[in-house]
Amino acid sequence: MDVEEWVMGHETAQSMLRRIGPLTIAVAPLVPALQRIVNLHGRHVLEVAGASGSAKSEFLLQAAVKCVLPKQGFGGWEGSVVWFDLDGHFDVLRLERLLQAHIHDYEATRQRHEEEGGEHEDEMEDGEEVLKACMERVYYTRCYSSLEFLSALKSSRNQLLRAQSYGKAVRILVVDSIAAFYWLDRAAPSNGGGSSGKLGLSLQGVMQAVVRELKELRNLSHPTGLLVMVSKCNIYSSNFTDGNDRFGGIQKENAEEDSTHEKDFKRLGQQQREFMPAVWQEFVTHRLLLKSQVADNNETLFTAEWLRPALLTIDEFTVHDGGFRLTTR
Amino acid sequence: MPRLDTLGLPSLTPSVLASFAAHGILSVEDFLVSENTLKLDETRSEAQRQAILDLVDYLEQQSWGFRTTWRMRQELKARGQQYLPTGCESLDKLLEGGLREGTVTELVGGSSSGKTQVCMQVAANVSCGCRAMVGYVDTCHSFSATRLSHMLGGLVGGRDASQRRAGAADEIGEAMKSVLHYSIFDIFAMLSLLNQIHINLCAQVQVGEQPKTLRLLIVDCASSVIAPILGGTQGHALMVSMGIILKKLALENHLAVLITNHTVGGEGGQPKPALGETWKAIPNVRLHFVRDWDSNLCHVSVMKHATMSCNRQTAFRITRTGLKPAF
Repeated sequence: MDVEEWVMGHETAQSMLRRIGPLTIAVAPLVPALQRIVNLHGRHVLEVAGASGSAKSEFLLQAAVKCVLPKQGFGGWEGSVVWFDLDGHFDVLRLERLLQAHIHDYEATRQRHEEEGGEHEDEMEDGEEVLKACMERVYYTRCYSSLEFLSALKSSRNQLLRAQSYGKAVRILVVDSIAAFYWLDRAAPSNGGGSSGKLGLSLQGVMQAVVRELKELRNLSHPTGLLVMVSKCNIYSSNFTDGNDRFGGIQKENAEEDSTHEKDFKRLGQQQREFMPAVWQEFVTHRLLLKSQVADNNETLFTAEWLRPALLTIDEFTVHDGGFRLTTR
Repeated sequence: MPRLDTLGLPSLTPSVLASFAAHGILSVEDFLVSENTLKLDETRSEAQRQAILDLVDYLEQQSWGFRTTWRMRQELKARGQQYLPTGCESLDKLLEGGLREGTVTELVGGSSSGKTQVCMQVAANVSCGCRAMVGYVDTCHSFSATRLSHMLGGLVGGRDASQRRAGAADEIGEAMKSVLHYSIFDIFAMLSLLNQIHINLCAQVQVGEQPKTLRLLIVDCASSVIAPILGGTQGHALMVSMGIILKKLALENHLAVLITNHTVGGEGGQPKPALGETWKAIPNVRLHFVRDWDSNLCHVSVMKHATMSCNRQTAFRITRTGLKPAF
């Protein structure tokens, strides 16, 4: 190797951008609340935290819908989703309704386009066909214990390879919710499992194995990577959420004066409530906190706040049949 | 979980087993949890790689497996009726048809706010109207067969025996026979009963005398067996176990599960559901009950629902023959 070549480095920034660019872009606006993080891609792990009833599962479902919708006309990714349901809250009819809403929107715009004398570009796809194709790309499994979860993770390897062979690679892996067996694993004896000198089925051991499996699966989905999205329900009750819900109105009035201070305070509270083992916390790259509160018109208003990376803005949205809608303040 | 050498997989030859054992991997559980498992890289011999792949296939067969959501939708459509009407018009309207099969519904409210009345009304309506078996797990001596028969009388028609049409008494008797009452007073008996019901349903063992299917399981009141054991890791683990078996009964055996929970004083004296944050995630639907003693109305509001917006309300009145809409 001559000196000049060595000094030049392996590749220029431009060639690197050209190489990895197509893999990282266009992943961003999955769900309205995600629009603030623009570079979410297949090596990231997003954790959606929140109390029960803060639209965590709904959030994950929206991302899954975006992922499976066709590129042509719908702006989806035309990929597959693997969904691990750990707390049994997945509702297949809700998924169907969300997809239907997107298909109706699409058909309506197509019709308007034609009425305005637009070109009839290509054969309009049958709505039912699109629905079937989309729903066939969401692979679902259900687990009732950590061991079942681990063995499902191991065997999802086959599922990933199968989806790849159809040309619709798995782009998102959803776990809802990661803390479902927290108490069971904590209660397990930490040196159990028969064989000596191992962590066995303790919380620590299980989370280590989960992280290891997820990394393995991510390597398997080269080159697109695998975006891991998990929800995490609160295990410990907090003084913060309840208080905020009730005094939401008052807080809003003072928000301008001491918003930074208050947010730091709240963030501190959130960190104190972090209960998952360190091995999991290190694995998570992005964290979003969802909260719900009752608005004046008796509608439930949800807020989304990025904790990692920490952003100062809080998005507010409502949930409708067709998905999330951001409210402008 | 079984030992690897008992699985009978042809690729698990003695030499492969020995190489696994050298890493401390003796059972399927070790295979799942062990740190040394088992990357499929170049350092592995061909026999080992094949053994790992076969083990993964074995796990896939043993587990619940992966289904496409399209297949789940088709199965759901094929199964037919999904909602069990509660027999109380205003509640059915609130829930858009009644209790949904495959979900856990929780009724939350203070003492004598009408929770048990709803439980018995639903039991009466499902046993009589849907001609299905009902499991009624009673943890606080609140079940009353007399009250149930009054409610059945209200459904069959006629306030007293003298006003009823012919055959009505048989109908009531038939319905009473399909309500199975269990008295359970501690968490361990509860877990064993629920697991036994699950096993029986999976093995399609007939419950009771008639060839009817069990479609509704009521636990009134779930919190009174859980609350005494809370406060510590073990207690929470037992609580989560009970939540999981309830969900299993709902999802795998397609039951509608109805449980009740009492309230405790939250912040500022506001009543909130008992059992804390972890339990909050377990029911799919949660209804809140408040009794207004002046008008003798029970007010119900939706606290949590998977598919519809919350904060909707309704009310009903408790009468001798059942629950009647307030308006």
